Amino acid sequence: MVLATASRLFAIVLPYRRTAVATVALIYALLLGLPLAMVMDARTLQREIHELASGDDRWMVNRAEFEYQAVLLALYRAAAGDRKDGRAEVQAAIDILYSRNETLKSVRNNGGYANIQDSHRAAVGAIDAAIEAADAILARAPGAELSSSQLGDLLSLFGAVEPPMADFLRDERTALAEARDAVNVRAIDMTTLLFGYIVVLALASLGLIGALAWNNRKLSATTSRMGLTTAALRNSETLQKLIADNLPATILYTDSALRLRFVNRSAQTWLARATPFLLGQRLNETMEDDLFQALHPGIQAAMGGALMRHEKRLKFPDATTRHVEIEHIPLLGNGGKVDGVVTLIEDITKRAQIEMTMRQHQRLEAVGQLTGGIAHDFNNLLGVILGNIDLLAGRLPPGSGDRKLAERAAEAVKRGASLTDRLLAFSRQQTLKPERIVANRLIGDMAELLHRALGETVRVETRLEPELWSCTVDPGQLESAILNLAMNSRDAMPLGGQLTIATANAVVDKAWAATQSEFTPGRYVAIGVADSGEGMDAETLKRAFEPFFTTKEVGKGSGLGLSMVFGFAKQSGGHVVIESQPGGGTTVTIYIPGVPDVASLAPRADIDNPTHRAGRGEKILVIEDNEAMLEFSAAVVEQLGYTPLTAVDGQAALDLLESTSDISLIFTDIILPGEINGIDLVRRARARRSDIKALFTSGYFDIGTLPGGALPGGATLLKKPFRKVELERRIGELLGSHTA
Amino acid sequence: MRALCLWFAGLVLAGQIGFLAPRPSLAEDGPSIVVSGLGGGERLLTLDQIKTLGSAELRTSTVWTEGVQVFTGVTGAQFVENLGAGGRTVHAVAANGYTVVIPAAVFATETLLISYARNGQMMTLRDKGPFWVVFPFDANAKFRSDTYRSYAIWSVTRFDFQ
Repeated sequence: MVLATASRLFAIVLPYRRTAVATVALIYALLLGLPLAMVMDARTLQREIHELASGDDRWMVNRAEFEYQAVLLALYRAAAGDRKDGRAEVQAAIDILYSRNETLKSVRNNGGYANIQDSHRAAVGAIDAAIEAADAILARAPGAELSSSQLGDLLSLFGAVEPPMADFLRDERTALAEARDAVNVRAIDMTTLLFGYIVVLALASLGLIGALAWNNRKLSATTSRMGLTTAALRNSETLQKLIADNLPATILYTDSALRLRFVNRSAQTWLARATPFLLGQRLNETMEDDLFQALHPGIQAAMGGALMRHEKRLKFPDATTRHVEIEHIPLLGNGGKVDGVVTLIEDITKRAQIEMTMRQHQRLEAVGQLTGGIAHDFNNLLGVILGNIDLLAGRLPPGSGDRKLAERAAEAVKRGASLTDRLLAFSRQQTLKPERIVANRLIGDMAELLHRALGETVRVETRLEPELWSCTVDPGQLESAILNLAMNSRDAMPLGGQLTIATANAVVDKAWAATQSEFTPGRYVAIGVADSGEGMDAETLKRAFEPFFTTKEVGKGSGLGLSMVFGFAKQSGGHVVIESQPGGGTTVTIYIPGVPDVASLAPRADIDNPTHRAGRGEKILVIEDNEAMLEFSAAVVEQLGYTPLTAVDGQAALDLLESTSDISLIFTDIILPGEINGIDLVRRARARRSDIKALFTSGYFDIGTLPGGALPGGATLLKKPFRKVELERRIGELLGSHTA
Repeated sequence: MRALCLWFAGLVLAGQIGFLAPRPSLAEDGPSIVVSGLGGGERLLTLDQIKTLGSAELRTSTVWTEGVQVFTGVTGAQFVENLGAGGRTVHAVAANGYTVVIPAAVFATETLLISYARNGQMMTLRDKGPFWVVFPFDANAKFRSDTYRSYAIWSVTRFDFQ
């Protein structure tokens, strides 16, 4: 087991051929063994070199040469008779030679120099023989001084030792020289061997490194190929998971044993469990019974190979019931057998709602067309009836009862005609009888009527532009539209309030027109109806023009009022703009194409004249809740050479004022969402910096009715809609940089 | 011719190592050593006098003998200390005139033994006696060098402190 693991590990780490591994191991064994042997040899060599280096002393110590000469010297001295104890000296010298010779016999035999063994033995034997003979001579005359003949005998005895001694010494010297040469040769051999060893070691290492590098390259190539494949696989898996997790659908894959094999993130959320706790589980164990009952029949059917699709209402984990489309797709494996079923559950609640709204709109449009067509036919019928009644009435005597009946019938027909007119207005198909009028007169005539119609609690005020342009419009329909708006205003002010009707000349340039849909740039007469009522929230504002949309109680309004106004304005080539704020009143402005008097006619070019850069980068804080309007205003300010800072409500504006010290001017809408309106904002800003300039804008015509009351001192109002040149002029005046 | 050379060499050697120097009597008076270089000139030490200087025993083998020997004698340190001998070198002279020069640092130690007995026996001249300078050759490789072997002079009869 361990061995198998180790060999597998070895195979992974060293994927080389076994023979190659064995060869390398052998080379290394040799490379390691060789120096070991060399170290051993070197020790011997070192010892020998050491012995030879100062070798003379040892040889001297063990050499008999000196002792032999000492004997000869003692004999000559005795013969010369210059010593009184000559015999003792001779004896001592012989004794010491003897002791040396004994040493030579015992030690030098072990010296190991085979080629000097013979002369060595000969020398030692000669000394032995000489001493033995000398001892015999000395024994013959104990104690006495030696005679000259005895001395002569002794000298000849020891003289005979000289040739073998000389031979021995010569051989010894030769042997020594040879030994030295041998050691030197071995030292040289060893150096060569060491050098060779280093070369072999270097070559072997290079070879091994090369082999390793080659194998590593192969290995890393394989690894990186594998790594790339794995990475590609992982990427693909990640991509698939990413797609599956982010599809707006719940995806489950159930195998033929009804066990879950795949779930996407949405399914995990629905089943309130993480993937590891879902995979491999039986379907009925992972979900509540009603969900299982909703899915199971479809899955079973799909297991039979059929693609199942149906819509259902299901309870979602957030306890809401949703409209879903369920699709069970059988997955076919080898042999056409169904391996499992992919279940897709798509929440189509929103889609269903949109579809329903669309259907309603289509129905309304159809109703409108139908109504228009019927009204036309009905008008014709009413015309025939009225004509005939008139004919009939002409034949009846005036004042007679029959004539009165005919006249009542004619009245009823006229009322019927006005009803069809209203239906036609809604379908934008009413017959307009346009005349060139100045709206001021019409509104002045209406004031008394409105006052009576709106009751005592509502104060009616008119603010009319004295130089108002004329416009071409059906006066009856304009009257009807104003009346309609006044009625809406009255209903918005159940506890009373103020109704302001105002007129103005308006030049709408491209930029301003772009902030509204279906608004063509040009000159318009603006007729505004403003109330101090409860206002509308954004949601209501969006749907205000929809036909039959009403916030009034059932039976109190038809929901046709504003849509009729819109239809009339559009049919007259104009537009309607609504501005409202919950609790801040509502202003509806009707724009009708205006015809300026020749005298007041400014060059047409000023509508879209090229921008004059009057600013020098002064910071202007622009506050406006209508995003399109804010963009427009900011763009104009920037084109004029100023630096716009923008905010969508009072609080955001205050924050900006807090963080930016050098704001020169505040350009704000008066009506702002939230607790701080434009006037409050400027008051608060001036409390911090009294020199800050302010320019207000509003679609309201009567600022007296505005929440917050009168404008702060030094502030001016720029009425919406305004033109670029106008904004430029006003800013220039306020900042003193206007040079145009 | 060869004999003549040896003779000549012998003469030269004899001149160098001072055969004319005073010598102890070898046979009649028993073993003795002459010491020079002391305060009072030369002094002859008998074996008994040498024995009073100190006593030491050394077990070692030598290249000149077979097997471990037990040497008895007086150490160089004891010898120098008790005689008050000084100097940088000691010239040791054998009975046949052979001389070696031993540095005082080597001589005045516990590891130099002036032995007078081997294996409990007095040593004759034929046994490298009566005095043999030995070292503990077995104890340290330092002593197994040729330098120390050359210091191991036998049949020594004289120490000249210089």
